[in-house]
Amino acid sequence: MTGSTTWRAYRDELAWQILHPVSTLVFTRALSVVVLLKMLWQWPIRSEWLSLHHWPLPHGPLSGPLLLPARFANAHPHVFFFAASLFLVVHLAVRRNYFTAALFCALVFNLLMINQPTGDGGDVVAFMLSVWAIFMVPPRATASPYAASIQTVLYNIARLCCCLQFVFLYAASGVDKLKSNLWTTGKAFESMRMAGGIINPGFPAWLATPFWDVTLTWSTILLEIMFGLLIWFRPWQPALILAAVVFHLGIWWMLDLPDFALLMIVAVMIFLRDDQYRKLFKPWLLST
Amino acid sequence: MPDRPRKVRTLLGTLACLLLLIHVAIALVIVAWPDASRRSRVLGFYRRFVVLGPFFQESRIISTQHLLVSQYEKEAWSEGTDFACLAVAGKAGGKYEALQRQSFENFLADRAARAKRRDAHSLAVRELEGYLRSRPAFNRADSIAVAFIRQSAIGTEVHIDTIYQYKFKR
Repeated sequence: MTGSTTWRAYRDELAWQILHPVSTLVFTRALSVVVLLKMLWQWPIRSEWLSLHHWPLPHGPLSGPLLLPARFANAHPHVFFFAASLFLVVHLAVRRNYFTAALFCALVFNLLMINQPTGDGGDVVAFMLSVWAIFMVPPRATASPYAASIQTVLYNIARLCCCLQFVFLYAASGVDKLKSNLWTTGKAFESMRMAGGIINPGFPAWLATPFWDVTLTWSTILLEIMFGLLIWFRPWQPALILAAVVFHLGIWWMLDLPDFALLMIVAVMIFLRDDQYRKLFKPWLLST
Repeated sequence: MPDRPRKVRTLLGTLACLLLLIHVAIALVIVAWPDASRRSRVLGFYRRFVVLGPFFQESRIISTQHLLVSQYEKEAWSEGTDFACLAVAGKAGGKYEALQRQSFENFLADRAARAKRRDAHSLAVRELEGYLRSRPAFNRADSIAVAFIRQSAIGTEVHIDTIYQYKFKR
């Protein structure tokens, strides 16, 4: 394949048909479910804080109206969480469309703002994924050829940008660890244990030895660096996706961050192709 | 003109490929040189929203903050304790809420630390005091003393810095 043929193949792939609609649909639905679960988990404690703490929110021409729900949440937290949960249930039930996808993104942004004091990186990741998810709406059969072309390209770009978001996140973390003496020498976990309050106290002591510290450190660095390079090649995809899922389950266990782990597991699912989905789930879910 | 929709698709596909290439190139610059984001708004935007992380940076994992609280009850001060940290350690399962509470306490204490330098009776300080007064653990206290500390560790060496400490009437 020459360079120009490859270029044409990529160009046509982006422009002519929506890529992996099953995988994309599962991803967008799972993202909504994770946001709903996180909100339900946080409802009691956030409500208490929202009534105790005045959230200083920006009042710009765009952020003012956009953050109205967050302001409302500060005054009436229970009403806000109830309405937001209701919206998410409706969002999950209706056919995907630009309007509800944009509303979902606005809700995730408001949750990011009210979670700011104690939020983790997962809130920003969820927000960015919800931004891309706005465009993951397949064109209707009745759309004009021009509208269908634009929608198809937007859909495919958004899907690819979601994949890239994940790859960049891993790459940034991997490169940062490679530059850190503490990480490369395998002493990062020991420092976390000494600093206290980071590692789950229930994490088994037999995994807190220099051997496991070095093994877990270098497995993390290798995964974060190699993921972005190899995930684009079909033979590597299942192993890398599985490794990423195991990695995030490990973070859940070690650092007790269930919401972050669930979100990252959902994010990595977008790398699954439709044919892989069919192969994985056909016997149980897709059989007729 | 049956060729027209085809041309539009080809044009859109080309444009999409070019935009994606630029997107990847900018992001890779940030991945390799994160400090470059200070030089331009576009790079800054990418640093904030596109190249998320890095998570678990060295500076963030070697130090933790603790809010130690002691209470004056029956004419004696109790020992300063990080109750939120204790709750995390004590929970057999489902530490999520305890961890969230720990983060919130540290957030309030950190804000109060910044505000105290300017105004001892600022909203941030009042919010911290209000929060501690609302906690059932301190219901019987006459006064409460707080010490906000930073505990840092490099290897096996642990350093403790007191950021501030003060007492207030419950």
